[in-house]
Formats: sequence, C-alpha cells, structure tokens
Amino acid sequence: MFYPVNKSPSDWQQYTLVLPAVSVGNVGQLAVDLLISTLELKKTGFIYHESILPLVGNDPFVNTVPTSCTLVTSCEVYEDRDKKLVVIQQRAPLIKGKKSFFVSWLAAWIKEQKFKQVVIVTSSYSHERLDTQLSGSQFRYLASRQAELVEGDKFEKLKWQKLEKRDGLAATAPSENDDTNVGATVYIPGGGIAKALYKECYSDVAMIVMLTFCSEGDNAQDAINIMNHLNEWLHLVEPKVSKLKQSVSIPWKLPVSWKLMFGSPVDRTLFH
Amino acid sequence: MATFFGEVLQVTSRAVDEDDDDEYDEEIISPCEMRWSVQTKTEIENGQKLTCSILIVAVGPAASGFASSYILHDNFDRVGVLFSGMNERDVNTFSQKSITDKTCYIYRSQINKQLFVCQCNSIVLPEQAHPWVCELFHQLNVENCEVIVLNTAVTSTFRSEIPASELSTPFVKALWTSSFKGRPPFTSLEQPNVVSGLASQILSYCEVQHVRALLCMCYTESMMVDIPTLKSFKPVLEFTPLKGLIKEKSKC
Repeated sequence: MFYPVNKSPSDWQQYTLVLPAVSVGNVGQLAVDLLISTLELKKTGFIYHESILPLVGNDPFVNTVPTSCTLVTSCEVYEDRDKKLVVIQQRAPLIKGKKSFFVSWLAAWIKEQKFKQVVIVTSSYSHERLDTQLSGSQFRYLASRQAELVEGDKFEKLKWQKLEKRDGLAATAPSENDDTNVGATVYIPGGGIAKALYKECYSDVAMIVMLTFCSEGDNAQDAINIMNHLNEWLHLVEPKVSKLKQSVSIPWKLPVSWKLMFGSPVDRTLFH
Repeated sequence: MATFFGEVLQVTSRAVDEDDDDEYDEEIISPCEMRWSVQTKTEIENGQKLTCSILIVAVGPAASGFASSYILHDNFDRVGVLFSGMNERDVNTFSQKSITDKTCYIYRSQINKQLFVCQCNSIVLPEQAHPWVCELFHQLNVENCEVIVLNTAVTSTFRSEIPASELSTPFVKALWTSSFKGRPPFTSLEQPNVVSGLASQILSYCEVQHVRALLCMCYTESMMVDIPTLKSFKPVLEFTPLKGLIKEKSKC
C-alpha cells in the first residue's frame, strides 16, 4: 500500500518515475540513493507492503545529531516537483515467495498513477555475459513499445546499447511484435523484479530498463556509471566542467549512509 | 564463475538468490493467530477495540527478561496470546509458563486498563513480521498511544568509527517515529546502522499510521541474558509516559 505523507492527492501524469530493482551488487538501490542525495528530494510517501522485509534507520542522507531522528523505512517515495521526478527507494529485499504479488501490485500502482515514463535501474550477473558483451560499455537498456513511441530514436542518438536478446531461451520462436514473448527473449539474471515488471508493463507503460553487468563487491562506481547515463538522457544534475582538464563530470553527492560500507574499523593493536 | 586459477566457484549474491528467477512462488510461512482471553473477547465482541495508551513490546529474551523483572508485577493480567512460526508439534495455550515455550503473551495492567505489555519470547521471523503486526494492532485502538519497543542486538553488528573493541557495552540507541514528541531517554541510532526484523516492522507500522513510537535498541556483547543488559533498559522507566506508572519491584 502507498501511504502519502500529506493527504493531498498528487498528480504525477507528467512525471518520470525512477525505481530500483534489488539486484546483484545492489546497484539499483545505490544509484537511486545518489539521485535522492544529490537532488535533495523530499519524501512524499511510504510503500508499506507485506512483500518487503522490514527495516528502519535514521535519515541516510544527512548527518543527524544524537538528539534527533528522522525515521526511514524499507520502501519510500521521493519527489521533485520542479524536475517532475518521482523516485522510489527500496531498502530491503522482497520476501521469498511474494515476489510476483509485489510485482502485480506495483504494476497496478504505476498504471494507476499514469506516469509519463518509468525507469527501472538494475544490474545483471557479469558471469552470465555473452562473449560479445565482455568488452566495451557494460551499460545496457531496454525500452517498452510505449517508450519507443515517446522517445523515438533518442537512445540511438545517445549511443546507448540495447540489451541483447536471447532467442534460445524461448520455447517457441519469438516474434518482434508479440507482447507475450517479451519475457522469452529478455534475459536479466540477478536483476530482481526488473524483468517481471517490464513484462507486466510492456504494452501500456513507457518503461525503460537501465542495467549494467557487474559482480558483488564495492558497486558504488557501477551506480555512478548508470546514473551518468540517466543524467545524459534526462539532464537532472548540472555537469561540472573542470577548467584545467576540460573534462566534464557530474557532481554526485554520496549519501552519509555510504560510510563504513565494509564495517567498523578494526582495532589497530591487533597488528602490533 | 571461474577464478584466476581456473577453479569454478559457486557465485553468491547478498542481494538476490540463485533461484530468484523462478517463475513459481509458494507460501512457506505458517499464518499468525491471535487469541484473546474470555473476558477480553467479550469486551471486543461488543464492537469496541481495546483502548491503549501505552503499549510496551519486548522483543527477544533480554527485553522479555527486563519486562518480567521491572514491569510485569502481580497486578497484570494475561489477556492475549499471539502465535507465529509454530510447528505442528508445538502447543501453545494460556497456561504455558515455561521459559522454553514459544510464547508471546499480551498483558494488561489491572490498575491502568490502558497499559498493555507484549512479551515476545518466541522468535518471529522477519518474513512473518507483517502479519504479526497486523494481528497485534487489529484489536487495539492506538490512536493516542505511546508505543515503546525494546530489542537487543550484538555489538558486532553495530557500525561506528570507533572499533568494536573500544565501545563500552551494553549501550542503548533509540529510533522514533515522526509523530513522537518528547525527549527520548537515549541518543539516536547513527547512520549507517539499521534495524531489521520484528522491531522495525512495528516502528514502520507506527510511522505510516502516525502513531507515536520509540524503539530502544540495546547493543550487548553477551550472547546470554545478563544483568547489565537488562539494567541498560532502566532509563525507559523514568521516561515521561511511564514515569510513576510502573513501580520497580523491590527485589530487583
């Protein structure tokens, strides 16, 4: 269920929704964290659903003083009215056995809100790559039929590479125009709910799946790469041009919660 | 995945399961069930929810121990029991008092009828936390309620700039909902620490329902229940809604 912070209804028809899929290396979640932190998005509601494992913590985006607490829960919705952007952050995995229940709820909610377009940020196991995927950019995208109608050849102009189809997976020969075969040619191992949601929304939502091939580890850079691509397309953050090197970089603001990613420091006396 | 030396390793992910792409889903968890005492049942059957102004939920053995030692006096009635994660062989009735029983009882003060204590001795799986919380709050009117959740965790799970060996344990950290007013007796839990499991589900429920709630999380080194851990929760008793309501047992 979606619980708005303020009871006023929101009209998101002209908005872009960005949401992560809990996937290998948590790339989607890290990427969305960057977006919320950099744009300083405002929390607009909660998704309190029985399929998501519970989690609470203190505000992950600002350093809080010991006497204050801004509670965050496992799934929350953020918004930027100027940029017409809605962002979902899911901080905990889904319960085993309730994945499809959540996907159908989320798809119905997305359709009900009538977003202009929906972006899923996810990742895929790098050890499942084809030989042709081993070198070059590790970023891939998928666009639903609606998204292609809306965006036209924008992604080709940006030189984004489409995720390669895996025809061998289909029981019957897939055809380009057959919606029922969407799931048969799309292969995103370790990509969480991305494929299921894409399949559910393929025919009536302008949906773009952005993904990167990666393995578990420090996946912060994977998240930055994927967000650089998103920014290239949606121009959400102003790029910074360095005077000396003439290079362009996006000033992503890393959230406070990214510190101590590998745990507390170890007692130094151990090494004496 | 093949390593540098050519051996093939099983690849595991912290985020997704190996069989994550399985198309079929099946329910693995047994349902939760709430049972009220005869007297309370008649009260509920009259169409009224039980008005609750203070609800203390003690999760885990240490918090339960604290509730037994400092809060639950003779003048508390056992009014309800909440079953979860029971095997076919497990029996749970109102009469079970053994500490090894998977019990999760709800007590009500005889003096202040709006004071409830939920003592959760059994382990509630995180997957089961949602239905558990639904059952708990189903018959309770918590509109003007102060919910206090007590829970423990091991210090090794606490992340801080200070090495774990230099932290003085046990210590208590708190998290509270946005509608919570007043000054909590403990400092807030710093990033990047998070709380998961049943306690976090209760707090999440309270946050979305605008209920005032406080979570006291005790970090302890001891695997067993020990006195310093129990005593670390004591400032809660001095905290405004509870102050004066609960008298310390003389033998504690």
